[in-house]
Amino acid sequence: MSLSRFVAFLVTFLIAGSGGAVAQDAPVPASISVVPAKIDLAHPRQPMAIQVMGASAEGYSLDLRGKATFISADPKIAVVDADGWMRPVSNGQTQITVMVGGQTKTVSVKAQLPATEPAMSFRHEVMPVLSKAGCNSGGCHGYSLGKNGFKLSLRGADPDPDYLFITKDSMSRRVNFQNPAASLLIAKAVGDAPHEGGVRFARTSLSNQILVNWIREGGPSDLADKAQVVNVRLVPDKLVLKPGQKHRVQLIAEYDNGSVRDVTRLGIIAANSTQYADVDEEGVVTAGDPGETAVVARFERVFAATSVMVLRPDVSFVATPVPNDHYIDKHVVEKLNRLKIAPSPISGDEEFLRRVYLDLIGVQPRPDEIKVFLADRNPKKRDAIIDALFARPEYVDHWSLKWGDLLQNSRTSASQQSVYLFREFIRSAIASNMPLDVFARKVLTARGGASDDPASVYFAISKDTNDTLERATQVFCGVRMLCARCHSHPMENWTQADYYGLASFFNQVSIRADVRAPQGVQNAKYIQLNLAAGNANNPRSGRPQAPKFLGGEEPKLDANADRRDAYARWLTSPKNPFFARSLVNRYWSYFFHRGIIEPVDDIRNTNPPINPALLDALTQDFIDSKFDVRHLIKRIVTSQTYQRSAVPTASNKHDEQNFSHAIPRRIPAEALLDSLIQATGVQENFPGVPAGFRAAQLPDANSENAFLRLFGKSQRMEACECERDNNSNMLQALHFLNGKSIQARVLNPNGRAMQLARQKLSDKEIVSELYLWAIARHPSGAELKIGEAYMQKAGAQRAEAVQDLLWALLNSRDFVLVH
Amino acid sequence: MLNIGNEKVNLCSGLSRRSFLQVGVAGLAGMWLPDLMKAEASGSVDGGRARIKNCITLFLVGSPGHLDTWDLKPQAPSEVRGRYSPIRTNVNGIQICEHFPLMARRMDKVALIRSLHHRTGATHENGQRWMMTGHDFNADSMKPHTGSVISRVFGQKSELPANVVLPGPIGNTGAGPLHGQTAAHLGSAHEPFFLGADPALPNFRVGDLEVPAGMSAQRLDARRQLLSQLDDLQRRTETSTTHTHDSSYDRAFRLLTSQRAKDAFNLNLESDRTRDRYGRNTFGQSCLLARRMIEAGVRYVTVNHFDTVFGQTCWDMHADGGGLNNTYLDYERHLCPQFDWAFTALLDDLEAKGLLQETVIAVLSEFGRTPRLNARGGRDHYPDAWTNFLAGGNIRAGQVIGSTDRIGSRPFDNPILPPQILASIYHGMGINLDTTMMPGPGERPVRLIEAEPIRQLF
Repeated sequence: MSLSRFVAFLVTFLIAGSGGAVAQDAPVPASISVVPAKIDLAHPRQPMAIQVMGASAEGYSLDLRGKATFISADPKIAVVDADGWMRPVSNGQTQITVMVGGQTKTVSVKAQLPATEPAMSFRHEVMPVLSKAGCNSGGCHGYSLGKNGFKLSLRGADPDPDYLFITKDSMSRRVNFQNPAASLLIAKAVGDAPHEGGVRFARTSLSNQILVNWIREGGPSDLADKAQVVNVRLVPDKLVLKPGQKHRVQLIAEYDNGSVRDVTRLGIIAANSTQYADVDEEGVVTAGDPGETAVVARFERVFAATSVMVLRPDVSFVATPVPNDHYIDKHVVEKLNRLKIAPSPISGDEEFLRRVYLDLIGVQPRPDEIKVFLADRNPKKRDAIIDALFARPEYVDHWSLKWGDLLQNSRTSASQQSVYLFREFIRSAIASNMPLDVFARKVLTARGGASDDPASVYFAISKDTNDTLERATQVFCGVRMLCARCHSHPMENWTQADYYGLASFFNQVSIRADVRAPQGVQNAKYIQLNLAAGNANNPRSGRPQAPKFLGGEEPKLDANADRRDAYARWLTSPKNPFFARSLVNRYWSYFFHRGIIEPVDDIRNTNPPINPALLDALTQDFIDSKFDVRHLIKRIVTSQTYQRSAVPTASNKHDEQNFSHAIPRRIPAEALLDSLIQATGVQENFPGVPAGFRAAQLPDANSENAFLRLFGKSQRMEACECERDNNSNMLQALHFLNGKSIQARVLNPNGRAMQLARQKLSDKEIVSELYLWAIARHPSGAELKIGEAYMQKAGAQRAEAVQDLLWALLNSRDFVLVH
Repeated sequence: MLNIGNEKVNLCSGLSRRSFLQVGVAGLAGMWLPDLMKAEASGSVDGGRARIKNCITLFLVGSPGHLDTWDLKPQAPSEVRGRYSPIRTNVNGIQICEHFPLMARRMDKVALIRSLHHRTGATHENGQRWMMTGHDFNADSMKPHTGSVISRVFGQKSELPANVVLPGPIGNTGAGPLHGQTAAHLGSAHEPFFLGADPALPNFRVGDLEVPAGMSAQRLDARRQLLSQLDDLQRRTETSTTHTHDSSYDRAFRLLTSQRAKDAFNLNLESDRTRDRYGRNTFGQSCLLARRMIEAGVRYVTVNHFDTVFGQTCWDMHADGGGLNNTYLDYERHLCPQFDWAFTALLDDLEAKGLLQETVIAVLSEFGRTPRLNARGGRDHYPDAWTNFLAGGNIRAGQVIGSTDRIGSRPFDNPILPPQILASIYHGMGINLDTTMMPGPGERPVRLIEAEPIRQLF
């Protein structure tokens, strides 16, 4: 036992030991449930535990198993132990009575045992042990070359070669049939023999017992047994706990022959974030800090998740009235009420205006725009400004930049002319508010050269079919398929059949040089379709894989059809489970600091949404609007949720996940530079593009600019939102404090500071103007005072004081962050 | 969270590496020591094993010919042998080129590796990628510079960034921008800090660190005070983003205001004798500055001997009569003496300051040069065999590792690949070589380095 595990064990023991006090504090269950209600027990070595669960009046989950008494009506048919584990004894039917909290429930049991005890199973007992102990993980023997001469299939994907490697390789030195416990396979894992991978399990563990028994029986093979796990689930599927509270989760595997099995002790169970919850080997979850996470379980290569909400008891909490006029606010407030979090109030006009400008058009509002907005008496002025922003040219710049990133438009992989043509295609789609389904279909079915169909550049950028399907799936489904190219996805239920099923939709595409391009033009490409192309080969089966929709069926397609058409129709159908859902999640993240699923382009079962009802409602609304992006944006930014202040309340200051208040974010590189240019009135010259281009208008990252690079402009090498680095670091701060970008602009004789200094303005007016230009708001009384005092102290050096004020404002938090 | 998934991944050493280096672009910008603590907790660093704390890489851009420098073949035919004769060193049996007389007297401090080779193309950039990152890569799978890895693993030790490149980045060397001198997926917090100035110039100033021209100290102070007053009033909310922002500014301020940082860049604090000893040229003064950087807490310094191979004297000895016209004359008049003086000065100086024990010096290049002289008496690119060397730290010095055949065309025994050198440096610094990097969410995990350390070095 490792030290840390020992400590964990000790802690568990101590807490359990002081259980009396805990038990008395425990709330009285308002309801009790016992699962399963009935069960078939068909295997002498596959016990099943009874989950006894309750809920308190305040909504907390209660694990009542420890308090329950279990009695079997006929112990000759099935027995049950004090922990609720049921085992079959002989054939027949009986009942197990569960008595808890003054209530009595029953579980009906049917025992149906084979005539003789089945041999130990390699496939169903030994393989799970190898996975649970991590032997076959990618860093260990699952590595494609194995480790120290011992190789297993990655995460147990392939039992047949694993069986041979364990029993036959190296002259069977890994198994010792005379003395099973001394087998090398076990001696290494329990620490009796030197093992680079350390001790994997204890002599006393179930894992050890399984391996020893299997070798004792002569290491039988059951490779002929093809029973497959089709589903695993965790019971219960959600938990609400107090900090420190414990609750067991049970992992159930369902097989294709209809049988179910309790694999809690054989599967791998872990919490996504241990800050909020931890799980032990027996599936007991211990709640940590208040917050939310998911407990994720894997058995064989199938996944299940349970959401865990950790709440501090708070009797004084007064629920916020649930708004009914906007579904976003309704779902967010409902969730916040469950979490006992009060949202922040609505932001003031200036805070709102700067936020909505930066988020919608990528630049701060100018002083005149701020003044007009503040003076506007129209109660619907916040709605009105959104419509006005849709009509701004910067709106097109800002959102074409985003889509240019996502579709990776770049001169690194396409000719300059193609990049501009594709950029123009994207810009006109944004300008005309092309529905996203139409946009996706145009992109995914494009062919010819850039001048025939500019959307074809999407394919010209791909390295090959695999790249295309990975990019398409990541951008339009929010799903990452790369792992499944070479092996089953380690965090999701995708296999190579899923991967190559997608590849078969795209492998008719061939990327050729566009021979019509003038001489000397590099990277001009032509998308040609080879309709006769066969299906993509699945290297695992060695056979062609018919086109297969992600998580769906293999459609019947006409020979010689462009298979991309079928894919694009499936993708953009209102019934598609990925398209609308992933895109609304992505758009949501552009207005908040995170997606409802985060990261936005890593949607999988094991990464559940923080607010499923909210995501469902947004998805449905987007589908109902026929994929209208402006409708979606307007829905989001007109919500109270979007318009909340960044100033937290005592109740929500720890919440950064549930949209209870605005979370400050660093402004992205282009918007930061464009805002800096606007604030100082001094342009930036970008090499390799027409003069006068704004940062948001650059065709790609190939126009070298130290500022944009330092602030993490997307290099467009990958179809991942993570290509953009919106973090802050010291070198950025250093550049802001001392580098040319601000210093030279502040001192520029034609720049903002000097313009203002030359005008006949009072100190107060100058300070106000500087605040408006630099951080798009009026100064507070205290800020005004500091500014005026600074000006007065400067005396004759008035111009320098104006420069210094502008410098300080541009270096202040409120410039770099959007609130 | 930006990791690829949340299942616990186990290191083969039996330790969980759940989050190490998975942060990718979510990099822990603004963190100091916690990086190291995290790395230690996750088993990526074994502090107890670390003998080397710092590294100085002298990168010989253009690449010296091994047959003319540290792997001479006096018995070979004249078209192979070249112009120079070997001289004896202070280690019996080891000979080097006659133009390194100072180095010859310090051979007991150096471990020569004569069987280096790599199997990718013969462009400068191929070799740079190998030697700067330990990997070959494309534009879409960039790997981080070794110094960025060190910065990410150990964090920043003082006011200065952990990873500094002197005097500046490698520029155009003919085949594109992929030199391996970026932080790649480790995030901009770990980008090398390029000095961007020539320390040999009398009015040497450091870009973003220097007080802007015409600004008085009083005015700077007034500005900073003003900024802190304004910031205080803006302190309405505290989140991870605002913390990162504030700590970035704190660190930048500390760097700007620290006398120690300022002094670290001030070569005028060195005696004329010391400055002369390193050589009054860009490379020599950069080597001196490298020593000052290490003293001031920088963990990884790269000194690029030249930033391009075009239109200037450098190691790229094609003798083509045009833009690549480096010849034997350049070697004996400029390059070898420059290197000999600077390298040995650095060695002596680190030793005198008691820093050599904990600092490894790695002298690296992209490749060797062709065994046979070309028609104009130069030598061309040759990745099949070359010599580089290490000194300092706990490296076993006074030895030669590997050898080449009679004409220096192939490794003869113990062939060594570039990643093995970097693996040795990581190993010496206590980094677990099983450490895996997550280039980005959804990306394949990549081993920090796909090689084992060179055993004879330790």
